[in-house]
Amino acid sequence: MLELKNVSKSFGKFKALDNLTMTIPQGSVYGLVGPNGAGKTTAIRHITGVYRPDAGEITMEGLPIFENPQVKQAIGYIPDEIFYFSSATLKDMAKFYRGLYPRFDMPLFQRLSEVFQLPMGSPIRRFSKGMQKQAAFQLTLSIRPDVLVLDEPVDGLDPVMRRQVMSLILAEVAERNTTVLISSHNLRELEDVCDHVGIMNHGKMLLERSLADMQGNTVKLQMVGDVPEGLEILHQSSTGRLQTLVVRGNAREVEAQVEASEPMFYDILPLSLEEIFIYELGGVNHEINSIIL
Amino acid sequence: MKSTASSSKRTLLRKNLTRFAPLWGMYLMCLLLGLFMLASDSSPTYWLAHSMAALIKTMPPINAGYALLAALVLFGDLFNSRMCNALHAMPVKRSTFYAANLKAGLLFSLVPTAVMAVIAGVLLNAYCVVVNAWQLAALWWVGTNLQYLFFFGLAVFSVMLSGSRFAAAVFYGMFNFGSMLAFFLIDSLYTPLLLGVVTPLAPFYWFCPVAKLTDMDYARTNVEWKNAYQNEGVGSFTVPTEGWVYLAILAAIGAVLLVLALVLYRRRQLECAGDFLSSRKLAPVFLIVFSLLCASGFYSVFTIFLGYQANGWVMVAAGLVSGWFAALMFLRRSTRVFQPVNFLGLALLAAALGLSLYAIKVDPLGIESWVPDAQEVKAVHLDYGYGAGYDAKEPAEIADMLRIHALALEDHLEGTQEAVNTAPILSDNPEGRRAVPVRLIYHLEGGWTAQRDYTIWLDDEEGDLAKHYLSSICAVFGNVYENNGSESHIASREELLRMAAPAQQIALDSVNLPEEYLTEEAVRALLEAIADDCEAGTTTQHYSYHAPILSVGENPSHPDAWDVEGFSLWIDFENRSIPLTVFGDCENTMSWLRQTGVMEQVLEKYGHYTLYDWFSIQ
Repeated sequence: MLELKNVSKSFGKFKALDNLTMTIPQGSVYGLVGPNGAGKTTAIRHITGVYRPDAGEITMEGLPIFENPQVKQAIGYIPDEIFYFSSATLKDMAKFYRGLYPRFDMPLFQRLSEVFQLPMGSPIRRFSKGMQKQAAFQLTLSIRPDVLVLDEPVDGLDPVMRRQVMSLILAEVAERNTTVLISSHNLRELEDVCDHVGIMNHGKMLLERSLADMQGNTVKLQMVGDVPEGLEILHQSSTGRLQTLVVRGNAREVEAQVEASEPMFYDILPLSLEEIFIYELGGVNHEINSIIL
Repeated sequence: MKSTASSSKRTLLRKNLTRFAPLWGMYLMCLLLGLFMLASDSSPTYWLAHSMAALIKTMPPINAGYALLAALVLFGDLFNSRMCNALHAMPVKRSTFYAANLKAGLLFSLVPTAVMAVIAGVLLNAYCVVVNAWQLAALWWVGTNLQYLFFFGLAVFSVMLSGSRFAAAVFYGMFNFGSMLAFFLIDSLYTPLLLGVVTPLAPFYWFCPVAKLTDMDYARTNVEWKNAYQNEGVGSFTVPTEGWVYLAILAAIGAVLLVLALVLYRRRQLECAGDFLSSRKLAPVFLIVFSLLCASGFYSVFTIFLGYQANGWVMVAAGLVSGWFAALMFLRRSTRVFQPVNFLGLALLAAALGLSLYAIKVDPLGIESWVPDAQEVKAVHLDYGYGAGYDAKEPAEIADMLRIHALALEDHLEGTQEAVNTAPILSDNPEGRRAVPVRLIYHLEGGWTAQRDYTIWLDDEEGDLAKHYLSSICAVFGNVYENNGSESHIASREELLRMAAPAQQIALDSVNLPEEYLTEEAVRALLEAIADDCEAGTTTQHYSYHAPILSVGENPSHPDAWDVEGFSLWIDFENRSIPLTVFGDCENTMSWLRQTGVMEQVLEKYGHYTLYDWFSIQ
C-alpha cells in the first residue's frame, strides 16, 4: 500500500500540495484526476521519491520512499515528459536500467520489443513522441515493478497503441498484482481501467473512493409521480411530467422507497463516472468541469 | 544489497565515462598535441625537461576551464528539470549519484594526465636530457592533478549553489576572481577617498588561485651544458616548497568544497532546476555582490579605458542600477523587475554604499593620517611611483622619510600624476609652485608592508628631502645593465668613479659622441660631473623635478616643438651599460655635454621628440 499522509509542498509562495492525504491500495488501479495545476504531477514526484516534502510522510508498505533505493527499485515511473541521455539508444537504456534495477527482466524486454517493434539501435531522441512513450513502457515494464506510476500515460499514442498499452498494464495487474497509479486530467480516459479514483484540486484531495463504492452509492432515477420523501437528492430536473433525479444511496434501497410511493412510472439507470463526479462535487469549484470536458 | 549498490555505482560510472568520452578524449588529445609540440620545438635537448617543469605553472588556466566543463557536464542533469526528475526517480541515493560523478570527474583528469606523464617520461628518458626524468613526469602529474582537484571542487560547489549552467559559471568566475574583483572594488571606490593610501595587491593576489598558481615555481631546473652552444645539456631539478605548500592548501580546500557540495546536494530541492540559484536564501547575497561588482566594473572600465575620471561617480551609479536590475532579471528569469519595491531595494543598497563611502571619507580609523612610529619601521623605500629609488635603513634616513610623509599630509595635494601635471594651475598655487610625485613603501616590524603615494611641493622642505635622496648615486644608478643580461646597481661615488675606462660608445638621445670623448680621461671627467650633480641633488630621474631645458618655442631648429625636458645619456662600457637622464639643472653634466657640441645636433634631429612624451608613456 502506498500512502501519503498530510504532505505539503510549496514552491516559493505557491502551495503545490496542501496537506495532501492519499491511500493507494495494493493491487489497485488508482486514477488520480484533477485540472491542470491541481498538484497531480507534484504528488507523483513525491511518490517516486524525486521531491522531498516540506511536511508529511510518503511510504510504501510502511517504508519511506525518499532516498530509499530498496523501495524505489519496486517503483516504475513513466513521467509526462520522457527524457533520455542525448545519444542513447533503446539498447543503451536497457543496459543502463539493468544496472540500476536488479529485477530488470531481459527476456521480457525482448518480448516487448516484438510488441512495440521499436528500432533498438537508433537514438531515442529521434523517435516520435508516441514512440518515445512506447520505449518508456518497454523499459519500465521490464523492471517488473510492484508499483507502476504513470503520468499522463497515453498522451501522444494512437488509439490502437493506446488500447494495447492499457491492456499491457491490466495484464501486469492481473498477472503480478501490480499497483498502478495513473494520473490524468481526463476522466473518460480512466473510466475503463480504474478501480479507485482520487480527485485533486489546489493541492488537496477533494474525493478519494473506490469506483464500486461510488457507482453503488449513487443512482439515476427517472419517474413520473410524486417524489418519495427521505431520498438524498443530489440533482433534480424535469421534462414535462418526467422527473430525472440523481440520488445518493444503494440502488435496491432507493428502488424500494420509490416502489412504496407507487409512481405511475419509474426506471433506475446507471451513472457514468463523469456524472457521479459532477453531482458529487457540484459547486465545489467550477474548474472541476475541465476534468470532464 | 551491497551488490545492488555496487552495480548502480558501476553503471553510473560507466555511463559518465562513455557519455562524456568526447570531453576527456579531446582533453587528452590537446595534452598530447602540446607535448609533441614541446618535444619537436625542444629537439633532443635539455629544454624539453625545462619545458616540462614550466608546464606545471602553465596548467592552472587550462585546469580552471576544464574542471568547470567537467563539473557542468557531469552535474548538468541537475539543471534540466525533466532529466533531473527522471534520474532521481531511479533507485539510487543522491550520495551514490554524487560519488559516481565525483569519481568520473577525477578520472577525467587523472587518466589523460597519466597518459601524458608516461609519454613525457618516455620522451625525457629517450632524449637523455634530464637525470631524473620519471620524477619530473610524476611531479607534473601530481601538480596538475592537485590543481585540478581544487578547481573541480570549486566548480562542483558552484554547481550546487546554482540552478543553471550560466549561473554555475558566474559563481565559479566570482569565486576564482572574487578577490581581484574585491580589490578592484576597493581600489576604485574606497581607496581614492583616502589621500595617498594605496590598496595592497598582494593579499588579494593570494586569493586568486588562477593567477597565483601560474605565478609560482614548482620545479627549478639546473643544467650542465654538453657544448659551448648551450643547446645540449643534461639537467636536473629541485622542488621549491612554497609553490607546493600553496598547491597542497588549495587541493585541501578543493576536497573540503567537494564535501560541502555533497551536503548541499543532499539538501537540494530538485525543483530549482532551471532557476538561477539553488536556494532562494542566496538571492539577497547575489543581488548585493553582483550589483557592487557591476558598479565597480562600470567605474573602472570607464575611467581606465575612456579616461573621463570626472564622471566616474555617474558610472558608479549607472553600474549599480544596471547590476541590480540585471541580477533581478537573472533571478526571476523575467524582464518584469521594475516594480516600486525593487527600486526601494536599490535605494537601500545605494544608501548603504553611500554611507560606507562616507565612513571611509570621514576616516574614523585614521588610515589617511597614519604615519608609522620610527620604532616600528625597519626600512623605507622612496621612489617616484615607479623605477629605482632609495632604500632608507639608517635611523636618520628613516626619520627623513617620516618627515616627507608628514609634510605630504600637510600639503594634501589631491591626485598624483594629475597634480603633477596640473600643479601650475592648482587653485591654491598662485605662485606657480611645482609639485612632484613620491612613493613611500614601508617595511614594518612583523613583516608588514604599507605603501603611500603622494604629491608634494618641490621647493619646500619635503621636496628638498626627496631630491636629496632620489639624486643619490644609489637611487640614480639603481639599474645598471650587465652585458651577461643581468642587472646590478652602483651604490657610491667611489664605485661610480672606479668605472672610469675607455667607453665603447656614449650616446645622447641616439646621437653618438665623437671618439675623442670616449677616452678614459673624458669618461672620468663625465663620471665626476655626474657624481657632483648627484651630490648637489639635481639628478632625480623624473621630469617633474626639473625645469625644461627648452620650453615651447625656444628650440631654434623646431620652434613649434614641445618642451625639451632632458636628454637621454647612455654610456656603454665593455661589460656594462649605464643609463641616465640629464636635465637642465644638472649643471656639471650639462657643462661637460655642451663642450661635445652634440646637444645642438640632438635638438635639431629630435626637436619633436621630448622626454615629456617618454615619461608620459611610462
